[in-house]
Amino acid sequence: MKNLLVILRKPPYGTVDAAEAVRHAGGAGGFDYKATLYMIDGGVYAGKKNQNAGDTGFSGLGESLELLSDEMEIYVCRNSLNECGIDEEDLVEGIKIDDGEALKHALKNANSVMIF
Amino acid sequence: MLFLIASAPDTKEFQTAVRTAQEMKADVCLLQNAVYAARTPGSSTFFVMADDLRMRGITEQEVPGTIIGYDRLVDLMAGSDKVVGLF
Amino acid sequence: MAKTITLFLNTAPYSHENTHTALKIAEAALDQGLETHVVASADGVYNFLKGQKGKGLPHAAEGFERLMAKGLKVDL
Repeated sequence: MKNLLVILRKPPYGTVDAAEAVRHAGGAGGFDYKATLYMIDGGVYAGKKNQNAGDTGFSGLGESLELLSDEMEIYVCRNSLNECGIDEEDLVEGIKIDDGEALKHALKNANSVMIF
Repeated sequence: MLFLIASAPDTKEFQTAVRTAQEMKADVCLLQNAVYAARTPGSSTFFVMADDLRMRGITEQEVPGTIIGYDRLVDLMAGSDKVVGLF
Repeated sequence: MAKTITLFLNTAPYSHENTHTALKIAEAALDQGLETHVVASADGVYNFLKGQKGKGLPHAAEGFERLMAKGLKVDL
């Protein structure tokens, strides 16, 4: 099994990047990849609780992340959380907070890295 | 004058648009990823799009500015001598 | 003379949120009885291609077709 690291740097909805990052990380399992999703900079907003896309036609990303956290590692960068003013309790269930070690480890072990 | 700002707060586009709007003493409406900035005290004079807040999981209580819908935005646009944006 | 609102759309339908924003502003303007135009340029013209199969984001062509039936005027 190979390791895929997906790094998300952009907030959700404004551009398609966050949706694509989650889609690629989520789909990788079907191709014998073990995926890790790492959210940093504005990307940490994708982990916020209570996202409600309603009838806009957009796919809500908070729920997707909560479901995917059962089958892959999902991290947020603590510095970015602080910069964005997001508390730990503002995050959906299953997301881990990283001080930098998890990112180094994931980069070292990844066979492929995708950046959004 | 009304500035419509859609870029995320950590981008140059957002920062330039806010600075320019303030220099011009223009009204500002935050849309799309710019609504993440609505949680900061500095944005209390801004209009903020309700739909875009809801989609991003930001509650009304977190926002010091004026929350509006598209109906009110159209009023603001039609009532302004100039609409600048989207940034 | 009735007020006119003209929206300029120059981004592709499924990379940005601008299509959604333009649709919502145009709909609210039409509902208020304003003459409403969308001018699409550059990648914005892709919003009006037939046969789009986008999922997980608002469907651009369906959205604009619905508003054109309500009186939205579109120029490419």
